[in-house]
Amino acid sequence: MEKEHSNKAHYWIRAVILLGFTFYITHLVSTGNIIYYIAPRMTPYVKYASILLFGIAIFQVYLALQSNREENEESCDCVHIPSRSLIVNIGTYSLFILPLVMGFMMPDTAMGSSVASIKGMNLSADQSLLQTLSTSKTPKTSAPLSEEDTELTKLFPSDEYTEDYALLGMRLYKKEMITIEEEGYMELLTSIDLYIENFIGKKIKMTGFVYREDDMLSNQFVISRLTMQCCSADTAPYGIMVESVDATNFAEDTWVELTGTIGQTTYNSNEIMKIDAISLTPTDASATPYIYPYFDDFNQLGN
Amino acid sequence: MDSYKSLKKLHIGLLFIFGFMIVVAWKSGLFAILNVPENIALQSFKTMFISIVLESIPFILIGVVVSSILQIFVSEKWIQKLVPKNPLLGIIYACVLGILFPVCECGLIPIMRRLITKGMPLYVAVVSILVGPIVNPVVYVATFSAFRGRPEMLYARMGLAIAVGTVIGLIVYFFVHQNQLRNSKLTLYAGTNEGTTEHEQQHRKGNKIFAVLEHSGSEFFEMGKYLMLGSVITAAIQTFVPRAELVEIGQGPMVSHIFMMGFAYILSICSTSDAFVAASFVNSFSVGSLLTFLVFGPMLDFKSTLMLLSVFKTRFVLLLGCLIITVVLVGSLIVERFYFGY
Repeated sequence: MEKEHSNKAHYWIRAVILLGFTFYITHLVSTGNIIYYIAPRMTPYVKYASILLFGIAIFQVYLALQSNREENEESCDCVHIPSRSLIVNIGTYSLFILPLVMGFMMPDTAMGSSVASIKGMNLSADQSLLQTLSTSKTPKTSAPLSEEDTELTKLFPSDEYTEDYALLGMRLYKKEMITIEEEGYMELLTSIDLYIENFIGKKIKMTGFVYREDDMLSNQFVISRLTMQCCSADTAPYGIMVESVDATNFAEDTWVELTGTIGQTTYNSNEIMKIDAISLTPTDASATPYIYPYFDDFNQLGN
Repeated sequence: MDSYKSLKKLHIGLLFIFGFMIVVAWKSGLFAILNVPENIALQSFKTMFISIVLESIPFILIGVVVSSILQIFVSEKWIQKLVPKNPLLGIIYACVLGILFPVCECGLIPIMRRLITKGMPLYVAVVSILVGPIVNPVVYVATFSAFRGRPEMLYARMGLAIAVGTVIGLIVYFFVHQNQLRNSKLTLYAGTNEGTTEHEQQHRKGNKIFAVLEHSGSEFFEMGKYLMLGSVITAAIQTFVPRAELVEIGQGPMVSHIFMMGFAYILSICSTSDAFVAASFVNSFSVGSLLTFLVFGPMLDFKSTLMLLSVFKTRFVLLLGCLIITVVLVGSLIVERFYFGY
């Protein structure tokens, strides 16, 4: 009988916790705040999971009620759960309650420069791409091209892995002003960074938050965004060095809209891309706190 | 009578919590008013912790539901018949199982626990747990896109994972014979002792789907507590330990491999996204040590150690840990030397 009693309490507590998770996920989805935690391509799974959790929770209630009936039928001389296991149980269930309490009691916020400084800022393009590029300088010509395009292909050498970036780079090269949108943010910047020599002096426009490291000069800061693959645990900060006489006017984590010209500078003995600011204006934080890898057709970018 | 009173109190308490939650669900902005002292680090910790929990829940649910379905619908005999007798075929079978269940270790561990109690040889389950999270199609695509410029990394990752799984699988096959499962209530259910009969009677009473739901419920909590604990610790490390300082620690040729194992262990990132994290280290670490990171992490990390401890005896988990460390290290040094050519 002891087992019945303790089971009953367990069923109730589990039901409460499972319903708590269902409510929490519903709450996050309905407020849209789930984007602070999970990448959009992962959210459907979390939604389905909440439905399943609800089903399991309801069944726990059913089990609890059922064990109630059984108990009433027979005379019960239940004993309390032994204290040792009670402590273990409290510990176990607290682990499940903790995320719910934190979730409901604390506001949903995007992570900013504090996370960037812990995780380490990435100031240049995908290094693995750069390495292959340096080993294969043969321009790739797949289709007959016009005079102008042949010139371009020489400027944008590529191999099979960087071909997409080269094509993107050629489209950007023809533009007066390159605007870095949220969609394809990383890919656009990677393409520019890969072929930085071609882009020096060109105009660029982008938005991000201000991030600084201790060893940066007073006229420098990084305009930065956090990238996310699946969840906040794998976010990585990615940014471009900005140089401006007004740099000191902008506090850490301020969102700025920046227009400037592309250049190069050396930081920590690495040659990196920089932007010389022409105009810097404070702006609202982006509605989507993170940027995500671009999975669609590359040809859609930079048009 | 005393216990009845306390039971009533419990019920009132739970009703109160239910009501409270409904209010919260309806009026979501309620707590933004309660000014929780603003602490950026705590806030980041919360974001990271909740995101790890939310991301793992679907996978662990797949795991516990599949495991419960196996428990209710699939007989021991069937599982035993299905597994090849030859150990090498068994290992190939385990790898195929890993591809069939494209979930990371959070989902695989409960499934494999159930299969072991159903009579699957230990070595096959171990190989599935080790290799499954790496060879599955989702991880394949993720690794490919993270290392666009270095496809050899993709092949090295998949190949080394299978090689490591084979070696460890054979060692387990030849040297480990006793039952390594931790004796929990759930293990008893599936065995031949009295737990089964009592339990099966219950099942006959109710619907089989109900039985699946019941099992899923208890297994969710059984496996979930390790996941939660792992998530708390992982989020704390991610929030409070600066990576740059970590990176400075290990830069030697051998040290970087060992360092990367430790790094993968404490970060505990899901195998579907760790390739992107590894890619961001291309400029500070050798390719070989990144391979170590990519193969070691999905096989053994903070979260999975805790989950393995819930399934296997502590001694076996220790043995498995040592084997993984040694075999992955030797394997990735060999790949670095002869495949990457350093």
